[in-house]
Amino acid sequence: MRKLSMMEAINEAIAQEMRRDPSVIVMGEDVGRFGGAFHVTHGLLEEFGCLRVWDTPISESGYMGMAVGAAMTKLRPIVEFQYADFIFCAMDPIVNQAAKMRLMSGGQTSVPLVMRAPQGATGRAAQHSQSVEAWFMHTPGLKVVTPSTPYDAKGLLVSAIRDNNPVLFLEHKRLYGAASPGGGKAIGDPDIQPIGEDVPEELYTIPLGKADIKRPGSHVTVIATMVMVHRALAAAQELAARGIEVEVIDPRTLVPLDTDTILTSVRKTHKVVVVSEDVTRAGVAAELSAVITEQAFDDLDAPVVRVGAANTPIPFGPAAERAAIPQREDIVRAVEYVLSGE
Amino acid sequence: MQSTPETITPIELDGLSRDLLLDMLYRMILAREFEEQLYYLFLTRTMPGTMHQATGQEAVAVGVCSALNPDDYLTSTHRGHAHCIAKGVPVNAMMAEMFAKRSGVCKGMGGSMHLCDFSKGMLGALGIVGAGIPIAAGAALSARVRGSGQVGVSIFGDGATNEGVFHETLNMAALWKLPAIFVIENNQYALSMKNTESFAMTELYKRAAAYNMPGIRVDGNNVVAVYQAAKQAVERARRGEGPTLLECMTYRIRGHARFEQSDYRDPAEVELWRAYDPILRLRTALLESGMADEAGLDEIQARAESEIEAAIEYAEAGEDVQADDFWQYIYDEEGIHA
Amino acid sequence: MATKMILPILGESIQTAVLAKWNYQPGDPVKRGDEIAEIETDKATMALECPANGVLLEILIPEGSQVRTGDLLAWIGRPGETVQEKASPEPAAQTIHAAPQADPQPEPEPAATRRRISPAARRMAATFGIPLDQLQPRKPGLRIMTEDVKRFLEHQQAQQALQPGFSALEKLSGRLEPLNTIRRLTGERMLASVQQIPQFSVTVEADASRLLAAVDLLNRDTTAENRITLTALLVYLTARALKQNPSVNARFAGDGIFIYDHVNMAIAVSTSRGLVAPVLSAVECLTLREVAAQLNRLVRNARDGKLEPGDLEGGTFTLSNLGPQGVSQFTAIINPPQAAILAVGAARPLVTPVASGGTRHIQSMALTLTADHRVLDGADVARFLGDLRREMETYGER
Repeated sequence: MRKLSMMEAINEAIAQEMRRDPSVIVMGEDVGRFGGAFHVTHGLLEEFGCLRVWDTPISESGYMGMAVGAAMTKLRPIVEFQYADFIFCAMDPIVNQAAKMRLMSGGQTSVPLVMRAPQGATGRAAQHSQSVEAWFMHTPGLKVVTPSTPYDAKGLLVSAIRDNNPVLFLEHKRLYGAASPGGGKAIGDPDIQPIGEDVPEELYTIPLGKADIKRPGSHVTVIATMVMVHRALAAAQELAARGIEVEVIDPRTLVPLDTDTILTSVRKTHKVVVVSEDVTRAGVAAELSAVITEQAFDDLDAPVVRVGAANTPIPFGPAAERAAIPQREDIVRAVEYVLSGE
Repeated sequence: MQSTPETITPIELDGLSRDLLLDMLYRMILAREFEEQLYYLFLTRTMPGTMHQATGQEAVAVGVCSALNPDDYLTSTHRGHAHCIAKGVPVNAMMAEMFAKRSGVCKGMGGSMHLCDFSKGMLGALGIVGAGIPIAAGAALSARVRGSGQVGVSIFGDGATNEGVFHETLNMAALWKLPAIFVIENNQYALSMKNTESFAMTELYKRAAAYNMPGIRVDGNNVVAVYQAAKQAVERARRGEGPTLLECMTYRIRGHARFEQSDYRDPAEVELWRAYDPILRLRTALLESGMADEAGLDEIQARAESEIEAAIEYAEAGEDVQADDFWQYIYDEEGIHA
Repeated sequence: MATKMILPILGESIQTAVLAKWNYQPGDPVKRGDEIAEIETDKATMALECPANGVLLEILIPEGSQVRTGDLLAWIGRPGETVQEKASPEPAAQTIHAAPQADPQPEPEPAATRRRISPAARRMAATFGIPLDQLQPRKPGLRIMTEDVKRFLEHQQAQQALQPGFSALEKLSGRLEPLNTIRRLTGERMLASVQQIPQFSVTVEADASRLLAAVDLLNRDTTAENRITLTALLVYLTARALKQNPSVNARFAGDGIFIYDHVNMAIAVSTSRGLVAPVLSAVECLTLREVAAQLNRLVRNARDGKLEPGDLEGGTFTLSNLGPQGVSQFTAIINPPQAAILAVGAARPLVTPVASGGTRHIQSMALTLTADHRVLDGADVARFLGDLRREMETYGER
């Protein structure tokens, strides 16, 4: 089977769904003629034309609101935010309209749209580096998807497009695996594992709300998302040499969350570390920790440990950014801690 | 204070059918009755939630909606009762929604500020100022993509034109020549803020020039003038020539919400605008032209009153919203959408 | 403050260069843009521009030296200015820790006084009936976790393999007898059987009068090696009962029950070296005399230590008769991987009431079947024993 980068896998998912379903349209800045700041939408304008691919002005709030209107009137828009940090310009149409319309209308309408955004720290400082999951996990009515491999990304995105609810599909810039036409090199990372690169050519779906055990193990459960899946696997390799077998679980979607897979693992290992690149305070790991502690308290040997970003805007200097973002050694240390009994 | 507001223009009935005019009068009175009855309901019994009355602004809603087809799209504001009624949303389901009944148009899940009826193209009153503007433009974009010939209309208040999203949307709608109409229901106040206190330039229709689209100001209490202007804007949109900004000058007779007394307004100003009440003006024009007589007009009034009474009875008889009703409406797992 | 002159990036693939020539001397006035030095690369010779106005204060790199991008070449400043390498700033005092987040915690209590037991460890201890005060952490002060409970259990099991009161025994005098092979293997098999098979026992009392009478009769005019023992008769009849209850002649097979075609009955034989169980094959096909002959031979060979390995293999069911030793009733342990074992006691004379009034004499023999509950329920066992009892109590009626 051919190997695709995540950028190529997402591009393929969008193109194939647009061929299959004429109601799917794409909106965003530089998505058409330029092919997208990270090349993800390349080729779409050429194939589908300007009624299906809309190059918008820099008006996040405006075009997000328009996407909501279009979604309620028979279309299925895919909206791209050029960086996840810019999604905050569109909080009102996302949180107050997209997420709430179905309930407020008493079920008369749905809002079948996908919001895509690249996130994660890559040396571009605070306003181009944030991980935004928690803001939207906290908004009922939305779903939140966090893929870690090209195979997962394609299947999950197809499911997201076909879902009748507003879905936030987050992509990590370090996982795109390709240079951006904006002039940057492909952003590499030594921890990134060659997993999930075999992507079937045909359309396939991965259901939302189904976790994936990326590595089975019996001593400690490490739950991780996006780039942190790769860091956790790298940490697991390091720990395996010391006889510690880590089970790495990738939830793949945060809302809905596959609690069954997670709790089954917790009941086996009794020790849990949750790793996410977003800010630790009130973040992804905080919510998962609460769920696990509430539902599996008597199965725990140790507190659920969160490994997340420091409670700070992401600083610019490389050493400072590295210290603020969870690294492989932080995961190793957290695993050692839950095993220690300290 | 002038003796006549400068935006008032005479009602010209030429070229309009009697049926259309009587229908417009009926729907304005229906909207008025809805608001007035609600006022007393809120005074005399415990009603859940709040309301924002459009009393005095009916001509904008009825004039605009009379120019639309049933499948055209409309978005509105927190002050949206008249817009819903003008678009054809059934008043008994609206009243039941006010009473938080399961038989309400939104199953009791939305309340006054979120009234909507997708089967009538009414995409929603919305409680966030300006939120409906891009949604209507998105509906217009959808119509363009699907080639359906529908238009998307947003009616919003003067205050909404200060929201960033107003400017973002008008720019995109004009840039792409979307089949949209943007209607400013300018009642000259945003809660307590008079227009001269919040606009660097108070002639809001001129904002259209910044986006290279036509901007028109009309007498918003003249239902015929509103209708004619809206009709032109709709035809322009359907021809693919793009959107129009239509500023309708009107006045809110009651307070901002519930029993708010509007102490920030000069009582003389309120009295002046009462004299230019849109329903009164159309009645007078119909009588003067001989198209209707007092008895006929009284019959219309009585019909509207009894329809609202029936709506209240319908609402009172309905089942209250239950504690667990909302769970099924958070996510759509059934594959059904508008 | 003086200005550093640093070798700039020279080009894509140029790593090093040679500083060929300085065009000025220390003390010379210089202006921004003056060509202050010449650099030779393998591609070309280039001029270096002076970065500031002032005086060339100090040249650090002599002509002819190899230089790399970023090297400090010279200082430019005001006349008489002294050049001090600016001390690099202290690294930012606060280090940002990613995890685990150290939220302020109350003063930790001294480890010695505070015993911590994790919820999972508590639950595991409760499941196994271990009092919490018997658990210890790996090191003082650490939290007691499931690993510590498992450690306790393994230790406990190791203890239980020895006699109870082990610690008391340490102080008593005696001698150690090492295990021979048979004893050790028997021990391991029986331990595994008890640990892995959920077994239960059912006892039925049968009237062995007819059997005892038959044994008497059949053994007139028989040689010793052809003698028909009560055990042989029991084997013969048990095989018949097993053919009527095939699931008793079976084994648990994971996702099913494997029912054997033949009854290969193992007979428990006590020898000086330990307990062995030689096997009679296909008993259901043998006559009583054949059963007796084979059984006698196997028992003799067992006692003489002359059994072949093949004699011990292939058993599908085991019978153990302690009647000759005077045992009235006992419960045997299943011989894995079989599903059942029959333990037979001695026949005891008994007087029992008769329903119509009066009494009669019987020879009551206890038949105890121990069965694998994954294969058999109580009703199945009761049915089998009922059939066996019937065989015994109606023997000779045909």
